[in-house]
Amino acid sequence: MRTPKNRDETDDAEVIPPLTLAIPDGPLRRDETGDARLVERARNGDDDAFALLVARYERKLLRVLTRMVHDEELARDLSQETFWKVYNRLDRFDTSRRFGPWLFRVGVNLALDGLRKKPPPATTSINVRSETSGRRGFDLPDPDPRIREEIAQEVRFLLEKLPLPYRTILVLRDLEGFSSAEVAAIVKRREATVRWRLAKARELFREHWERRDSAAGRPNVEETPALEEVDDAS
Amino acid sequence: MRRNGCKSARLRLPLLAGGELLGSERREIERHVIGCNDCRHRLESLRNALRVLNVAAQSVPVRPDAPSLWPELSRQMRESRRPVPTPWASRFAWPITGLAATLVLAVGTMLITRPTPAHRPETTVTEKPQVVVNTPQVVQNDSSEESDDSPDLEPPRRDSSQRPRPLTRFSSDPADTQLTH
Repeated sequence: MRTPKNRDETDDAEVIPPLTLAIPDGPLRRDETGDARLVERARNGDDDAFALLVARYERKLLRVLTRMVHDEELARDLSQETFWKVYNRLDRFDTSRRFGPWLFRVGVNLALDGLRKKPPPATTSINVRSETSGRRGFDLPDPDPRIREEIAQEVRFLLEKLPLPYRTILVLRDLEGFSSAEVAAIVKRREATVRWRLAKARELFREHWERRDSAAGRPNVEETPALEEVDDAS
Repeated sequence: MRRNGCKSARLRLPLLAGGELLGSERREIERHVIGCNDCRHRLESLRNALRVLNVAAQSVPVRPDAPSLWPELSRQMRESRRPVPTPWASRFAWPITGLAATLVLAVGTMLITRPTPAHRPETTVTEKPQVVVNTPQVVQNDSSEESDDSPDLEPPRRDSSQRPRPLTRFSSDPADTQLTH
């Protein structure tokens, strides 16, 4: 069991800002150095250091997991489990590597485990009101929040139809803005593999989106190729 | 030739649409798209799909007032450090088991190493000779009609429920006795 370190020792090493001050949402790289130091301190029983790591990543992790499982409460439980798992495995973490991708890998794997046990979604489409289905709201640089929310809802529905590996890549790369290298570190695949999966995932999403457009009575841009064609070529 | 060019380009169009294609590869695909109507339409369609994803990305799925995970986590951490109180039964399980094992061993050892007597006298059953008395038994009659001086020579019928009388009777005349088995 970890023994808590003397508070005076830790305070000398680094002054910890209050939790409310630091909740970065930016790229993971920004706090990598700090992360390694915080992990070291947390290993030595400094709970404040771990609290800061939680504050840094909890919102981003919650967002990623909510986009994956489409259930905020479940995503919350998964995030909690992720941090708890990470806390118990801090001793195994290699501080020369980056903390963020490791944390997200644990979280994404937990979400994937949960999704594999879940039954597949129903095939009926959600109701999109005529004001969004009749025009391309996404062409607007800053669409109305209501339209944006409806588009987001439709995207969530379409994402559920994608196979899990493609959905994961699309969520991490196109919805959450992780770089290809970060996605590769999270899903533990080579960057080249991630790029091909990303290409396939976008192609699949485009196909579903246009099918939805056709169902709404809009002309399709062109015939969509089968995914097998892409698979064969790669 | 053109067909192969389209096939190869279409694999890379999603990356070109997202801006992930760089260098000579990018230039090659861009050149192809300029000359190929189908691929140009496909690229435009992909860009639209990416715009949709971009709009969806702006919609944050987590409530802004969602509470932090830390309070629950810190409670979990504190509880994990607290020594778990062992229940009474499991606390005394080992001493009780040890004591029981010691007792079993002690009894077993005693039984095995108990000294057996060197010579035990044999117990033989010897049959004692039964003495049958032929003399008629004098049955006392309590009835008032019969007098004590007129004995009944008939032996009384033995009731099976009555306790058997001893077989040995000593008569006054030793000549009347005989050994029977």
